[in-house]
Amino acid sequence: MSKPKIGIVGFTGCAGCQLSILDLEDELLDLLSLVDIIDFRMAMSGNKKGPYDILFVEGSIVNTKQEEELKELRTKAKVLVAIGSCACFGGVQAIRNYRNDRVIREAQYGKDADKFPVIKVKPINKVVDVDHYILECPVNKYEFLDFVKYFLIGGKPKLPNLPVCHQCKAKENRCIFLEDNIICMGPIIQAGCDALCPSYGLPCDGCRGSTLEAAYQQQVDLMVKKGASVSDVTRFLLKYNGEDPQVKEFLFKAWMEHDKNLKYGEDDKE
Amino acid sequence: MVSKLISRKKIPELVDAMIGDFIVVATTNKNNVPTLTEISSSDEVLFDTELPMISIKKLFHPAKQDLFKFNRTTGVIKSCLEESDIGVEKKIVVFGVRPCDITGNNVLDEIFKEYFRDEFYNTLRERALIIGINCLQPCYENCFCESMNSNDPKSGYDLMLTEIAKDNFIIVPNTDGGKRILRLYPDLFQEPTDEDFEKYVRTLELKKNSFKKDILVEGLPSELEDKFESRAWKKYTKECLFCGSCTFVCPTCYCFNVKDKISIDLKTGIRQREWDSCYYPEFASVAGGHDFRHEKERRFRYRYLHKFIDIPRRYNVEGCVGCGRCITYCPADIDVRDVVEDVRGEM
Ligand code: SF4
Ligand code: SF4
Ligand code: SF4
Ligand code: SF4
Repeated sequence: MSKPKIGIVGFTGCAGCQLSILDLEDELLDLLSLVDIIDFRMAMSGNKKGPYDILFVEGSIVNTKQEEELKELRTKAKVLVAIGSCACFGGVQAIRNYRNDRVIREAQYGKDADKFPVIKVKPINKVVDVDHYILECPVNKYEFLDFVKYFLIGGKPKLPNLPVCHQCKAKENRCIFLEDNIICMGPIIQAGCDALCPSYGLPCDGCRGSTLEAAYQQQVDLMVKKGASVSDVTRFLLKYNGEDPQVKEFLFKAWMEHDKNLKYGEDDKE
Repeated sequence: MVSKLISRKKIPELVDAMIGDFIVVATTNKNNVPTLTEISSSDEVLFDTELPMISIKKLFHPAKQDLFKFNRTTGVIKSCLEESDIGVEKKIVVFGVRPCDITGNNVLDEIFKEYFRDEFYNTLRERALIIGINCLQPCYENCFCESMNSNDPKSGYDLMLTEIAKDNFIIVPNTDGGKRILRLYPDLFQEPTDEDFEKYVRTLELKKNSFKKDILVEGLPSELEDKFESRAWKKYTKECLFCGSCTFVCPTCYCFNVKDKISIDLKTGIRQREWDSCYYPEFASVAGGHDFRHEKERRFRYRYLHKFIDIPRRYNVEGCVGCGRCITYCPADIDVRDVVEDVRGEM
């Protein structure tokens, strides 16, 4: 088999996922012996716009130009993979979907705000079909590598579908949620990061997205019982996962009851 | 007489002496939670402390373990057990294990040794000597060892310390390995007198009266079977986060999942096992995609059925030892005693 052609492209995000891939220092040379990277603007020149055997897409979609560009890329890619929170669930910028985006844009661009029309922030699967998701913010470079390896031997790695607590307990961390009343999303967030944040005494903010059956209501009730306010909790949930369908559904319900001023933003034009 | 007497002051000396001859594991405050760890000085040890979050099971059935290396092209496999030096290294002494954890580990011994012999578990298990410390009263509010008959194990340990008078312990060997430890450090021990033995007997009698039963296990398996459709299961299913913490901290939970990791050469790889939990969504799914316990309620119930029906019936031992860890470490405040009683109380 000839070496598969790979592209790594970015839309709206911090480019941290692309940087993480470059950070695979020990494995990068081995990787290059297995695949041809034909498009990776962040790292090299002479990029070709497809066709790709695998196209990795970082970032979320925030305007109509990007939508067109992504659709075009999809036609050139046999397999399209979303990498990182932004591409998978909207990422940090999806907070904008829940605020007045005119105010946000004016804060940034002042009088020129109108020159930058936007749409609601979309994870890439709202625009094109996505074949696989690689999670984390920034993307987990080892899971990225696993995906490439499995692709080459004709398979696909399985998403863990376990909560962060699984690895947190295996590492015998102190449970900061239980013992220190620090709100931690570990019980409802996908494992795979080796419980990175709780291992350093920090709460899981949910950058890997919710587990398939995340018990949002129970989790939020417990966080409130531990002293968090409903707005703390919503801010916490929104941090990475504004466009995660489970989060959205939950927030709508919660807001309906608690805070009628909060609403889901409007598009300039759709 | 083989039993010896040791004063509280001398116990740290005993621990330090053993560090010279063995790998010593004891409860420390690593990560700010009580944790069993290899120690290099008795200063690290938390004496008289609550139970470690994870029991001694992790020493014999670690959270993650390499099983074998394989080569996809040649088909050759090589067990990680042969490659490692587990068998030839020094013996491990686990110091200060509570009776409930000894009983809990006896359940794992039964499962991994007798019922289905697991070489990985047994190699690690055979390397360990266990020094128990007797509980003379319930150690904390979540403990219900008396209900589960777990605070007086007859086997599964090598030495047992019992405080028979203030700051004075009798140390009783239960195996040849235990006797050997006593012989190694003669200077640290005294010979017990007849009076000391009387105190020992009296202490054990007093112990019996200090514990009370929270739940009655007689007849529990068939009662729970009758309450298979109890509404109480639904109620607790709604509270549970399905985080799995209760299963990892449980000394008798032993389930694991097996995964392959492929190297970048795409030919070689390693098979590993990792603790798994029956509370997780795909735990009971099998080849072909069928999932025997997809619904949360079934999963919630299953853990109880396994502990309180299947293990007692199959192995003739209690599947729960009443250590209370699942209560202590449940973020949703679910109490195994309440669940059992609520289910029982349902008509
Ligand atoms: S600290 Fe967070 S991730 Fe860790 S066990 Fe507690 S709730 Fe779960
Ligand atoms: S602990 Fe949570 S926030 Fe931290 S890396 Fe893991 S999933 Fe992301
Ligand atoms: S079920 Fe709970 S109380 Fe019983 S042995 Fe397991 S952790 Fe301890
Ligand atoms: S620890 Fe509590 S919340 Fe987590 S799975 Fe067990 S019973 Fe459910």
